[in-house]
Amino acid sequence: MTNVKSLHIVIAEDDFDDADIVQQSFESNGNFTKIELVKNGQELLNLLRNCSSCPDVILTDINMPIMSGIEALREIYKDPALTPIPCFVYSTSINPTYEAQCKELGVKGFFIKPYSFEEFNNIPAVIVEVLTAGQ
Amino acid sequence: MENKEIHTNRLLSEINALKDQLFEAHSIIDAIREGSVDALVLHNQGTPQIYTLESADYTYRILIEKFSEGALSITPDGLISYCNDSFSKLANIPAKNITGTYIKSYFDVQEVFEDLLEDAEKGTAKREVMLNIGGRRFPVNISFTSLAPTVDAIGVVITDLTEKKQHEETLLKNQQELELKVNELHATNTSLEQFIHVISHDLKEPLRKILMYISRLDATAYAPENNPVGVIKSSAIRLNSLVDDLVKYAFSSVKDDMEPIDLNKVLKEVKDDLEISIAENNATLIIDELPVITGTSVQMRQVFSNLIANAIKYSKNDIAPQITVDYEIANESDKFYYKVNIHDNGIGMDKAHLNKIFTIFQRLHMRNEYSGNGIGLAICKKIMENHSGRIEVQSIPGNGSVFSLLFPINNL
Repeated sequence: MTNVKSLHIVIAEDDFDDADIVQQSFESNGNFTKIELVKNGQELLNLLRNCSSCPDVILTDINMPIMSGIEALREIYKDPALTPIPCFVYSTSINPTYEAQCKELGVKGFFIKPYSFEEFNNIPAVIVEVLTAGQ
Repeated sequence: MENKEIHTNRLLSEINALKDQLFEAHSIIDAIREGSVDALVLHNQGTPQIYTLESADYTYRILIEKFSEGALSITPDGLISYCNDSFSKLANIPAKNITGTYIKSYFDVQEVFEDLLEDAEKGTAKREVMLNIGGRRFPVNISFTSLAPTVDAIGVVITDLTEKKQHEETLLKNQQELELKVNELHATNTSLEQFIHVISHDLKEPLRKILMYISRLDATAYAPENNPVGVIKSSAIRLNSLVDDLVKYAFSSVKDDMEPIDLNKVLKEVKDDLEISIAENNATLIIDELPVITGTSVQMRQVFSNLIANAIKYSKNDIAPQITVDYEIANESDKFYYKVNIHDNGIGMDKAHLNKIFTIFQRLHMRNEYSGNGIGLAICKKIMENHSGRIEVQSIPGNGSVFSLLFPINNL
């Protein structure tokens, strides 16, 4: 069972500014002891397939170069070894097609990227809430 | 003795055969006298020959003669004993050269003839077949009707299908082309939708960052009036809402699945959505019993939300907004509509402006008087067109406006 007090998260984010902010929000949340950042879907898959201590939860942006978040999620949900890891998605705007695809794949949550630093802190809070509710 | 008996028997059987022949001959003569036979086919050394009678029943004859479809009569084995003008024209062979020939030879696939003949024994047999006359192939509808027991013959009616087939083929081709175009259109619409999403995403990405990082600027370094930080922020917010509204406008013509929508339910949701604005403006929203229309609930919610929000926004400074939603059944040149009216007691509009307000980006007020992008009513208009209906407005300046939504009633 996942211990919500010492979560290990991997975040796929190609934008340096957003990566900084989101990392800070997870650091300040208190439940995340290890925060790893990757720059696209391909890096995310590489990390997941070669990890010795693997993340408890995944957060990915959608629009990223090389491999998008959606493509990476498709691979993750195809791989029985990776499927059990809960996945969350965040993006600047809601594209109903993407949102529907994420739901169909089994993504646990879909966030819109906030317009203020404070609201970024809601993302780790909601993730912890969802993971706790699932237990 | 035995020889004599054999001889006698042979003579008797010969007499019987002769009697039969005589009876047959008498019958034929009687039939000819009565007019029930109008042609005879006799085999003369293997060549069939036709003998016709002038005394035949002319009324029927002329009818068949002038009949606009090809008509033949054939013997049970398919020898043509009569051919009318129409068939002669169709075959492009003089009638006299057709009679005496076998109909089988005109069939493109000769087995079909045997089939028809077999079926005709039960009464009438009909087929669409290809004829092949003198190397010219053409489609016909052919019917064989057994004339037995009155006459030992088969009546054949032939309808040329060349033109009909051509029409059918053209129709089929047009239909296929149409389907192709519809598919292309669907594909274009889908890629256009994706394009809109990508554009909106890429426009909003930098805007979001501008808005986020503005909060890190020190606004206190400037004088409160015309503070550049505030202007930058409000402009970015406006641009962001413009992008959102444009996306909504672009999607307002998307035809989702139309289904029965209970407008009472829609209005209840809209009222909940606008709860804060209603409370803040001390507005009263009275909703009468409303009909069930055919539409998409997302778009209906958007129309009513826009109209009611407008009614609140364009209210008079000193009078609390009062908005009533009701409906009537309207009849226009035998077409019936549910006419849903949204009445307000707001500032109203000058008659001269009424036709402008549904145009995108058209605004009647300065931005510092009333906020907005001038897209809301354009969205409403598009959505109503999407629902095979329309939006109308009546207004008296200073006395409020009535926006009417007309939904066609299909089963009235």
